[in-house]
Amino acid sequence: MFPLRRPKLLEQTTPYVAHHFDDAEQQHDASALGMWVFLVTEIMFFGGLFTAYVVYRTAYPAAFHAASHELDVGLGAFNTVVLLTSSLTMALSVHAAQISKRGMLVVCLLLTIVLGLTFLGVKGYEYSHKWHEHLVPGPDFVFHGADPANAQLFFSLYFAMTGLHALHMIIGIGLLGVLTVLGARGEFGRFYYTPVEISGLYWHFVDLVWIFLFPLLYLLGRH
Amino acid sequence: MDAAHARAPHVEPLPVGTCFAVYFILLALTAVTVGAAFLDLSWFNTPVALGIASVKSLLVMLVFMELRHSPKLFWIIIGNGVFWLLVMISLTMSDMISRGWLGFPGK
Repeated sequence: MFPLRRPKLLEQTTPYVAHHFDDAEQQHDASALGMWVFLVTEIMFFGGLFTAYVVYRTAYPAAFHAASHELDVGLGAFNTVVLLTSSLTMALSVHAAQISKRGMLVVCLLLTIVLGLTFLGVKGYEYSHKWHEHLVPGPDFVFHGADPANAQLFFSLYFAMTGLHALHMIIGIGLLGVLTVLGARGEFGRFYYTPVEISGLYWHFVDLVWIFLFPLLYLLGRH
Repeated sequence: MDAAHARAPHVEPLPVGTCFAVYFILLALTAVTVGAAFLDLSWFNTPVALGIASVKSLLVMLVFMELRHSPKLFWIIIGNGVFWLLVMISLTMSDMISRGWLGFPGK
């Protein structure tokens, strides 16, 4: 983890460098690289589900197209815009930390949290809608199109992929909450903003996953 | 505090204008993705959707995730992750697609 506790400085005028680093730049790059290595493991984590998706969609294209029609494109597109906007406010948070603007940092982080919660709210609404329409895989699954057994496969993948993605959002919102508190206390500034930046990397990664999930789940066979 | 410690960790903060420019490009590309899905491009629909998603990802990584100004080591590590993802998908699919191409004794 990034160092949450460091010597208190009234005004950040010098970078805080742990003794095992040569300078602030090396310390910063080590943290960012660590986050990127973690994100590569995340690519493989989601990659397993994407591979399963490719296998089953190739095997049962018609069932996947029919099942995809049950998803609401409008809500999916709305959530895409919400998530892209949250990436913008996250990037602005990093900018605010880099130029030592505490107020802007806190506002941007709070906006990112609100947008993240909006995304989860819409997702929750979609899930409950699927529940009422008996589209959750299991004994109550009812599908009126062709090939219900394989349509059920689509919904298994839909819930697994969006569920794992939503879990990452929940973790991300937790991280942003911690950053907001620390940011409000003035822990970050021009010389030390690594936690804001690497949490941003994580947040943008979650956005990246959605950029692929949206067309692959919501936009099949719409023409 | 010696001279090395006084160096700020980064050179340039991410410009606000660039953030907004990339954001609007991402929104436009989202609209293009949705629009393209409603056009009948036969087998071309999925490659178009994935192509646009890849462009959006590159924009997010290069600008929002500051890959433009990151050491080349970062590029190697991320390229490595993407490479092995593609290996996983292509080897799995080469098995799935080629099943039944060749007969074998007893079939």
